[in-house]
Amino acid sequence: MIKENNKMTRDNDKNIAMSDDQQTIQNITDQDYKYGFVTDIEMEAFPKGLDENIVRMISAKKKEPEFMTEWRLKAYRHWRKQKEPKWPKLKYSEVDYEDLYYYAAPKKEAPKSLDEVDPELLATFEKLGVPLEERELLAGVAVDAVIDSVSVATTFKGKLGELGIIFCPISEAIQEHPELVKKYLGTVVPYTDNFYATLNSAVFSDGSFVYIPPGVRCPMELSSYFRINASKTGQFERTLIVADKGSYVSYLEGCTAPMRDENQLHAAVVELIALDDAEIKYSTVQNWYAGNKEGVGGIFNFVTKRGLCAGNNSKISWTQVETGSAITWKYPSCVLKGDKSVGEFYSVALTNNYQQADTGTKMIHLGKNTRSLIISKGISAGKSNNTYRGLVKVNKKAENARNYSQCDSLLIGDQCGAHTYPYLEIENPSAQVEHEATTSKVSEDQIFYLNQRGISTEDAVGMIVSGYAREVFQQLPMEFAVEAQALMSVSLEGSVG
Amino acid sequence: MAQLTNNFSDWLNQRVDTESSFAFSEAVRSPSLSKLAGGIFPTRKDEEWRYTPLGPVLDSSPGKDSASELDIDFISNLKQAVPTGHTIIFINGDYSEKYSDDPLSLDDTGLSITHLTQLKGPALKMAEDIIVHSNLTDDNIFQHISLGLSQAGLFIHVEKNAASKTPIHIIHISTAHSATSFTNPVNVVRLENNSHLKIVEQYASPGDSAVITVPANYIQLEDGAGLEYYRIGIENAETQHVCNTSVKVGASASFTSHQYLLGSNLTRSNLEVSFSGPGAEAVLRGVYLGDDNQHLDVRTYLDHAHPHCSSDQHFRGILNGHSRGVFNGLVLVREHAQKTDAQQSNKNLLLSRDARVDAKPQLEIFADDVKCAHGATVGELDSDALFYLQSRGIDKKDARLMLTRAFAAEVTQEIGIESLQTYVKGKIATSLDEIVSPRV
Amino acid sequence: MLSIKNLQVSVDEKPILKGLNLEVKAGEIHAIMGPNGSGKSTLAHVLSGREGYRVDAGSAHYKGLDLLEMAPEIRAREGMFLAFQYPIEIPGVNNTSFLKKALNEVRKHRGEEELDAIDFLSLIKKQMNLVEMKEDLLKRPVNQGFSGGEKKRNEILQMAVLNPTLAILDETDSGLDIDALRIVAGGVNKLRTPENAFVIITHYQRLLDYIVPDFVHVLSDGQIIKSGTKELAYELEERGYDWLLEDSEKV
Repeated sequence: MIKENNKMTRDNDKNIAMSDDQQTIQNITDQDYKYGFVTDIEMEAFPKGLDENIVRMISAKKKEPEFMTEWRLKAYRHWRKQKEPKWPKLKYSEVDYEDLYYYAAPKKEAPKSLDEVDPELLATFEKLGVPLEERELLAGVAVDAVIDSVSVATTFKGKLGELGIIFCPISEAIQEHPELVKKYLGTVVPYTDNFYATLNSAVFSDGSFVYIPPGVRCPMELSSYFRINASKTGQFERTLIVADKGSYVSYLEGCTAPMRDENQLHAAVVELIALDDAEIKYSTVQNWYAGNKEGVGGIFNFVTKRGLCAGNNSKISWTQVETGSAITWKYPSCVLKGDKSVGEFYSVALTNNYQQADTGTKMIHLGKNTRSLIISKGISAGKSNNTYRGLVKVNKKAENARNYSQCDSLLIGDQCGAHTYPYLEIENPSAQVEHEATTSKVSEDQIFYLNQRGISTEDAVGMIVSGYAREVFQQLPMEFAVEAQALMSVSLEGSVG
Repeated sequence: MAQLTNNFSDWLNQRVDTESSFAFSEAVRSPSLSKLAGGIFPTRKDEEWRYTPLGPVLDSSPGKDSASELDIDFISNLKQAVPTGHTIIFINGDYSEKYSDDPLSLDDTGLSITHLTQLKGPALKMAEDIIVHSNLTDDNIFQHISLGLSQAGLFIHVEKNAASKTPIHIIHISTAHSATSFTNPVNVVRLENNSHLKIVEQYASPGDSAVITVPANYIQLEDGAGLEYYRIGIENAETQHVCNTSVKVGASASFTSHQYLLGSNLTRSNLEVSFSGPGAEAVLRGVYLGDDNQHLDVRTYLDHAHPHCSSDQHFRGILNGHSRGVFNGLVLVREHAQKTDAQQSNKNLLLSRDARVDAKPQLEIFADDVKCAHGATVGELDSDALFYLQSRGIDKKDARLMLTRAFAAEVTQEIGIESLQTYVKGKIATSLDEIVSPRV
Repeated sequence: MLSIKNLQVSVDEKPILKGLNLEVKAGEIHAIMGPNGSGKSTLAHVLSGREGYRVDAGSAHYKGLDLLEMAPEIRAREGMFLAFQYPIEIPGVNNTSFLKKALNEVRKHRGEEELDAIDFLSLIKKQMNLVEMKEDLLKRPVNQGFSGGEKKRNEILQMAVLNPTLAILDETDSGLDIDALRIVAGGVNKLRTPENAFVIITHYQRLLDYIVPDFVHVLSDGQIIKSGTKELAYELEERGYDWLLEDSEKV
């Protein structure tokens, strides 16, 4: 048991991505107000560090069936044999995996809390142009909210249930739909995949589960909202989305964390599976705490996201706007197994101050007539480093594969770095693969031109950057796009004279 | 990653004791020899060797063999590439007085060419200074082979303001009957301020005996100097060729390099260029043309450490049979290297079902006021262009041949020595005639 | 010379030509006009043998040969020429050597002797005057860096050099200014003989001010819905295509 004083966690929390009329979440927020700032949230946590016991405890806490406990233990044992990867373009102090809490949750009887709406937070939203009141009006979004590894609320369950859509915390899915979980969990990202994914497989405590039945077009955006609240807590959520034949779903993910001067670990896994003729659109606006201007604190965001286009004519599209985290390490990927399947990756990654982002995608062409598209827009400011790293692989039997990649970098100021590392591995002569990248800057001439037309420097930079990233923003659902654009301006604050 | 024991490494270390008259002084050799004693060769776990296995090199244990007699026609054919050049021929690593042009016939004021083994005093110091300050990193084991064990090579020195009229044509020929032959020539080139030179280096291995070639070039261009450097490898299918070239380009100097990898079983060509002053330029060109089981790997490393420099890279690969092409190029723009203009382009044609290409064009940018772009493509011949040619009466096989030649010609047409351009185009055309056939 | 009967062609399962009939005799100039999407370019492509089109029914014979069975290069050698709407740029292939190769392939096929470089150059210089083309365009790669007008003139130059029996001009007038149009048309008129024939595919009537057709056909929705003489073209220019479409629907 630890006690967490809420005062310590408030500061400038940038709370993102909440929506509409979900009563549950509203109630929680209201309750929070009742207790005010001085109330401690009682947290339940397992002891620090990781061993088989902790893994068993997590599994027991979640009332998981035997197969899950075994799967977690296999992952744990494998993880013990792994070494943390060293990446040439990422510099950071090592994570002490024995000094982390692997399970922390608001105590059952304690009031559940999404956030405290302090004046600074309101001011932030004001700046974002997305007042909370407006967010509440946003309709048509069903939300699963996860705080410190535990799902606290899922909305619209009933309405979705009528269509046979399952949208629930993954912990619940493990209990109520074990056959689906058993069939698909770990099939796209096996527990042996990489250091962080292996760790996640052993200790994940929650996340979202989505199943869209054959032929169903999910009538609303599904959304999960992730937040790290407790200190010294690793967050390991796991998301699994299965789109059965001929179905469609659009899924949004938002992330925030409080400001702390320690680094916190976020090691999530997302698996997507699209069967014949199915389409999954997965959008992320990631705004974990990035650390302060001196580079102290912030989230280490080591995430494994992968989609499997298992069926013919299936399509998986990743869109990400990455503005937060001290370190981002993620490569949302597509395995194009089905014939005529399509993979897309649209990314805007913005780094400022001392942030480091190493992100990109992998497009693995296996089926015939598969297509992939990569649009990556990196924006570096301050003393940050922004890296695109991507792989396009065309296997020997992947006839007529097509790929086009455009990976651009924009530099703001002369202290930052922008790097592009594409890997093209082509084993079939009928492939057409094309990679292009350019580097540009926000020029003083551009800013002056806009200044001269009466636009402030800050707005000018925002406009130029938004224009630069427009291709990606267009892929986001409307309400997210507005928010993402505004978020960019906020993140860039102070980056130009 | 260490690969501790291998035949090649053992053999190299024996050579330290069995041979004599090495090119460089103890001061240069001994650090390299201790590296070689460590025997650490890269494996595919090393990012820079990700696509190129060194097995064919490391498994070999070269022997000592007497050179076979060379066909004079073979040599005159090689000379044809640059008939106006001053030819210097090495056979199995040894200077061939018989076939080389008479050193006295070279009449170019300010240009001097000396055998490394004959360098003494200040001249040796000058050459070794260039080596010691090269771009090649300490973990580059192949440069230690060059520095520790090399017994032959040239120091080419052009005094300031001298513009050499005669291209220097260096030909390395490897021949052997039975045992694997081994050569590791080193060239050191210094162009003083505002001097100009053209060098053509050719590698040939007639016959079908195994050859290992580990050459190195250390080039220093001082302010305002200009060098055109051509490298043509047409080696037999048993040749393993791993070469390093380091080039330092001074302020307002200009370096142009062309590489044509047209033969060998394995070629790994590493070219590292750095700018040591502002306003300099580097133009890198190359074609790798592979068939059968050939493995051709071009690595470039372009270090923009000063402002107002430009670099332009253009490499093309044509892969047939089971061959494999690799382009691994990096452009680094350091902080303060403002107004850099760096372009990098890599295009690849796959002509057969079993050919493969791996491309890794990379940009590392730390300055904002720069113009950097790179592009890479892999594909088949353009079907619209094929149809257009067919619709004019040209049959499919010929149309494919024309387009494939044209694909290479976009690079070869920039060769600045006319006879050499004709020669290289001819070699490419001959190879293509043999390999281009319609894919069914 | 060219006999097309009930030609039905589809692209990606979508029918484009739906039973087209056309007879072209030596010495004739036929104009095929029609609104966008009527199948004009498909017709040109199918006749020249481009891939990606499926012939579902019907036939096309050229000089008594089954055209649809012939490879594109054989059609070309038999004297069929397509002037492309969008001439393809071919980097690295020199315009002169390309044209020499093409001409000699055609000559070989006809049992004529191949031209050497000197004879070829004198021929090409003569023909270049016809299309008022600058000589430096010969040294450049095929169509690369050519302006729109230069590309079209290059097409006519190739036609003049290869001297086809049947030339199909696919929207050769599109994107040309009036001078270029006049030059291109002048080239066609000079090449016209009683032995050869032209099929001119165009959206507008203006090219027909310079090349007077013997017959004008209106193509709509994959079929020729009306044929007539050059007066039909003027009528189309004046009244547009709509009246005709309405008429044909009534029929």
